Amino acid sequence: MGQKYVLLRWKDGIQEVSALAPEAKGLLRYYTIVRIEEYGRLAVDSDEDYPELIIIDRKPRELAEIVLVEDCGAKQYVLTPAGEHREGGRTDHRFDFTEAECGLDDLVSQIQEVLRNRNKGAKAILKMSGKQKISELEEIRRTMKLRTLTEEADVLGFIEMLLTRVA
Amino acid sequence: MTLNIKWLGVDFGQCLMDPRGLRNPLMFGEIMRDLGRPEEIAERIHRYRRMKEKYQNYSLMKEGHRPEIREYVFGNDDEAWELFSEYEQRLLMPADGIAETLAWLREQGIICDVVAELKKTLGPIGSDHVTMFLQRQGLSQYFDYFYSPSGRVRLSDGKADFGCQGKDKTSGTMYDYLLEDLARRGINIDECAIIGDKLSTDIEPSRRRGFHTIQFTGYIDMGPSEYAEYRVESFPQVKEFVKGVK
Repeated sequence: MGQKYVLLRWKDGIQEVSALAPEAKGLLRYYTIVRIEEYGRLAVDSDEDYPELIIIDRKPRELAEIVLVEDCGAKQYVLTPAGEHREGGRTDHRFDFTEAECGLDDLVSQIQEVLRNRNKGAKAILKMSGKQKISELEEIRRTMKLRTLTEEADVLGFIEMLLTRVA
Repeated sequence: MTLNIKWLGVDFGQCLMDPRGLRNPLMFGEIMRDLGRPEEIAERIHRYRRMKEKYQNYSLMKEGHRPEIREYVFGNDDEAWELFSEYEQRLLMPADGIAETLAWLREQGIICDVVAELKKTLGPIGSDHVTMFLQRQGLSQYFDYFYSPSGRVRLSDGKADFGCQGKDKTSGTMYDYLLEDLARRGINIDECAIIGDKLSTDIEPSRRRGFHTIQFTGYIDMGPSEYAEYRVESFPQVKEFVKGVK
């Protein structure tokens, strides 16, 4: 099993990436919890004993799409609000989702354009190592306006996966 | 409208017991700081939440899968596990006004029992989280019996019998048993009421069998129901319409 990622897309256009365990299978549920603060909880089904859990702290109720990405394809989940539930001082906002197989054509086109503008080849970048490679991946990340959820290595790994597709 | 009763069955979770103080960051913070390992707080909370995503709610997790919490969340760390049980009790609160309301109900001659969904094997009083909570909060004195799918316990002396073993509230078999048991205790069905928050376990199955029903909305409000004859946000509100049968 290869590396997997989740790509989070917000209504305001922001996109963030987080790495998933290779055992991740598909979206289980998404909901937000409001107390004074608000967080989203994204549960991803897994072949492990427990679902993978990702905590979303950026505008949790404005998350629009979740894309689970792996080498061979991607699944897109479009979120729609599905009511709320109050318990004491806490309110949960639940979301339904529709699931569809999808490609990453838009991101692949974007990365191809970035490479063209920078006059760089995907294979050449993939052959690089150390700081030089990280610096190239970081430039692509900024141009594509991709961010990471918690660890920068996740989004750089995701870009490397996209480069492998276009190489 | 006055409700004349001789007996009141009180639900435990999110009714008699208010879990609002039981916040994970607080509980796991206390445990891991006591153990001198505060750097593990985030990891333990994360595991606890992942486990919740597996079972979908904390009640089910805590009532039916406690050994798994010990194993997965605490890596079978005995000391952490003991502290978990200790802090779990320490952070749970009694519902607002519960003690004064129970004292008032007893003064009216109304018998009060706890009707809960505990599935663990019954041991001595104080060995399960329900009776431990009642003792700790000084509430045992107001109740005669504690009914659960594990059996019935007399709270004055801990005497247990197992006539209601395997009966539960969701299927309604617990209420069938209560009807028979209360009749043996000389109480008629139209003199009995159940108070609880969950429509599917406390209100609907009991009302279908003829119990009077009071929906408690102080912690969770599941919305109105044709099976809920009364709705209260707090226990003291019960005093406004309940009267003891002389």
